[in-house]
Amino acid sequence: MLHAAIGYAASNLNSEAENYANVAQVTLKAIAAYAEDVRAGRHLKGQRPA
Amino acid sequence: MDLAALQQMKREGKKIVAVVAWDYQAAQIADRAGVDLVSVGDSVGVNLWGQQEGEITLGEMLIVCKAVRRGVKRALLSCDLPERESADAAMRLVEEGGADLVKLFASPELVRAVAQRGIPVFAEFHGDQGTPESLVKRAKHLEQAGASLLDFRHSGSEAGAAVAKAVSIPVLGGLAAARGSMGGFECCTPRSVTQLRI
Repeated sequence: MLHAAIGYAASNLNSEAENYANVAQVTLKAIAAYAEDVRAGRHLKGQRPA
Repeated sequence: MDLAALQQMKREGKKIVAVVAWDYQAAQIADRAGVDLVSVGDSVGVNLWGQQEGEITLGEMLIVCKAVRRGVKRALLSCDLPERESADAAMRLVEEGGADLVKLFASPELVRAVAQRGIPVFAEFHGDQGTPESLVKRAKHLEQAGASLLDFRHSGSEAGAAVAKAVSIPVLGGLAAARGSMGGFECCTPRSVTQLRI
């Protein structure tokens, strides 16, 4: 049930149901932001200096 | 997405976005985010299942690969070949697991053996294994052996740029790779979004 409570599944991206968290939406935003940084050649968050 | 498109991105100087995923849910989300490549990492054994390094089996990788395959519709899908496995095992990852390419951390000889079976190879090597000159030489050997992509980790800025310039195939970098000339390679799972790591 933890899986549902934290909104882990990708189906939560389109869900308006109330959860304790929406991990799927947070993850989607994070990956999209990461992709933008990669494509722009920007420093990536959490990255050690090369 | 296909290998030809990745090659075209390299020629046009566009960065390639790759992430590691270990389950169906993460795979769906990464695919929706528009990444170019999803890699099924054997790191699932250590990071998700509490295994020791090198403990993961081909059978376990097949299970994970199939799960991620179900979630990836648009991006290319790579799957790690566990240590000490053969070209036959690489074929199983493609035929049974649904991988589009197989990632090896191995010798040019194994890269050649896998590539000769018609399997696109994503060859991994690390920047802490030599000087920039020797790393360029190794990258060229892997390309000549038939690798379609390189995963150049811990590259450092000097060797990273030199390798990306020296080979015609795309070079991705993770774990503190140089960022200027290569695509990105991250680790992701919905459970550990705060632990995105290079």
